[in-house]
Amino acid sequence: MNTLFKIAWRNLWRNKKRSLITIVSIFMAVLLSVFMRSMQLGSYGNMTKAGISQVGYMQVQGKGYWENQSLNKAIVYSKELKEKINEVENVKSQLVQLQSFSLASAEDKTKGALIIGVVPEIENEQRGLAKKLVWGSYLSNDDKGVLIAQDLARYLGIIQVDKEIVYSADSLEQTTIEHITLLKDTLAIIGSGYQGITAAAIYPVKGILKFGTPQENGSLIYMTLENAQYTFSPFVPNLVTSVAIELFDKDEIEETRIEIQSIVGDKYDVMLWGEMLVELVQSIQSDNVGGIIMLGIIYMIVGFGLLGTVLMMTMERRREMAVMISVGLQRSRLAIILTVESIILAILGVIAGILISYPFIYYLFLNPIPLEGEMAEMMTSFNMEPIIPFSMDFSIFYNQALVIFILALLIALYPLFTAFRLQLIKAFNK
Amino acid sequence: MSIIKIENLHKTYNETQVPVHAVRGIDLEFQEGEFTAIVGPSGCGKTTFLNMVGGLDKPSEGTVIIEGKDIALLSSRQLIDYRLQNIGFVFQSYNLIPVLTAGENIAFIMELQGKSKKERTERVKDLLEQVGIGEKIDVRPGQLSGGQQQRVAVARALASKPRFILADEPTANLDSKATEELLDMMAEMNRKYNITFVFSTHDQRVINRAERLITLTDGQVTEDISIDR
Ligand SMILES: Nc1ncnc2c1ncn2[C@@H]1O[C@H](COP(=O)(O)OP(=O)(O)O)[C@@H](O)[C@H]1O
Ligand SMILES: [Mg+2]
Repeated sequence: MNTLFKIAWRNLWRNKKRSLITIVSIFMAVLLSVFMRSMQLGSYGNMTKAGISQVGYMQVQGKGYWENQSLNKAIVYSKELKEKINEVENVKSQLVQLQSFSLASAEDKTKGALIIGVVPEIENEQRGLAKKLVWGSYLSNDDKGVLIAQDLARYLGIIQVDKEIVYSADSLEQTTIEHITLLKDTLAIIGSGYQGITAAAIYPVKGILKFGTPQENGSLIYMTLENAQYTFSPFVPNLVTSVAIELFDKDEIEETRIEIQSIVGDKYDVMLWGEMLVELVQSIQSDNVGGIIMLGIIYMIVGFGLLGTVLMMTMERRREMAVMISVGLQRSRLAIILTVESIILAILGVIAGILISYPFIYYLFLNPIPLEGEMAEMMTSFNMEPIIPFSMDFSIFYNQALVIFILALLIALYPLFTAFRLQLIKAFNK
Repeated sequence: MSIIKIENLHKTYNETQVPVHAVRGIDLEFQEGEFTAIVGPSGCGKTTFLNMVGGLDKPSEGTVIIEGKDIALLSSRQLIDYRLQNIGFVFQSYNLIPVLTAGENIAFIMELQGKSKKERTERVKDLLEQVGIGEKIDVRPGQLSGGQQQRVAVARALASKPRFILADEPTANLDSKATEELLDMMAEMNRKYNITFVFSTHDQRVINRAERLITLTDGQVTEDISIDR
């Protein structure tokens, strides 16, 4: 009924200032929470992207390899297996690696290391390995040499690192430049290979890599897949520890996993990126909980603001309500008026908030805030783009609207209750 | 048959330590078309009595029978609907809906009754002209004088074509000119449409116009006289 809405609408503007303050506070809350959420989800996206770039969306591995990363759980990457996987429609490309823990040594120093055999060209294309090179040159496809992580190389006495601090012209900023000098040009690897054979070989040092985490920086050695296979499994050809899979449609990851698993059979595990990047997923989850708590606080503040306005709007009109019921307005219809009032207040705030934040966030989505200096370096070393990205996920906007709408409905319970319980004579005597 | 029949009506307020017997045993009947004033000093129970007749308050004892029906037997929804269809209220402090214009206040009642837009528009205009403020149709109550607001209130009470109108001291806040005009108007409605009016007052000017005069003293009827005018 049209007049009910007319009454509700006009009631809102009886105390313009109060209603505006309420609407503006909801507007600000929406703006703030959209901005916060967009930035959070954007950076999660950035982190996830970086993680996925290193392990792929999923990997086919030997059964149980992930729990116990032993060469004996490696698989033979036959033509047949490759083609089977390729038959799955959503599979874009496959990338294999052979990894094994071994001892690395140079003359008198020895240390445990993770040897990774890769297809150099594809590894660089998909994971940007060459970007991490700080000395020497990248591997060619039939290279006999190795690339060593910087801290490991230094520990083994293969390189010497001299630090030079450079000041900018106005002396306000300082940067550290590392000068690398090669001391030894060969590296020996000694370990056990596939099915217990002894693996031992000597490689020329081709280049030095610098990684983001000390853990990677102190342990990784890269060589060509062929080289690694020859060293660790000279008698069983085509041995790999993982087949990383790129997808066309990222949203169909679950379906694709099931499909691949059924094609390769249960001698293989198909691991999703989330199962491999457990720490990343956990740190995103805990950060996300923090974000949601912040949202909760913001909404509690606006909620109380809205509640205050609705309480006052209800209490100061008890007499008027009694009059309307006296002249024939059913209480249920009075309840509609009061509910509509609190919903309109909320919706105006939400609409304003979304109308303003949408183009703002869209701009930031197209032009993410670039980072500079150490922060940028750190992010790059973690394979992340050095930016603060913003997410345009529809759910960010939708969720704000939904939460505030539900809040308004909850708050409307008070006037609703009043409408049904109002004692006419008492209200008249006020 | 009388339009309103009141039997052994009592009301006791128990809100304070000492119970207040506001109405103590009223028996009355009102006939269709009567123009009745309930008189008596402040605190004698006029408002309490009218509230019970209009179904806004529940008697402690006794019954209000309107057109043969005991209103105590109606559910709260039915009672509200009953008031909408049958009773017009005029209050001492006008009690118009402040966010609606004069016209909308009147149309609202008809809208609640489910009357068509066309019928509402015509009747609102007609009613406002009858109460003498046709030109104020789009003005909100806040911009009207007390007398004008009470005219709108009477028009609102008439809008639903009720069987009777209950008015609690309708002139208490009006000056003498506005009082006379309102009384003229109510008397005319009474004559023209045979609408039953029951109003409470302690204003001599109003008493002078009543055709039946019921005097309340301490919640009891002490005098009930008809006057031929
Ligand atoms: N809600 C109430 N609670 C307690 N006492 C009341 C209430 N309403 C009225 N009374 C008392 O009942 C008596 C009658 O009041 P009322 O009906 O308002 O008289 P009148 O309208 O003739 O002035 C008065 O003594 C008044 O104080
Ligand atoms: Mg009174």
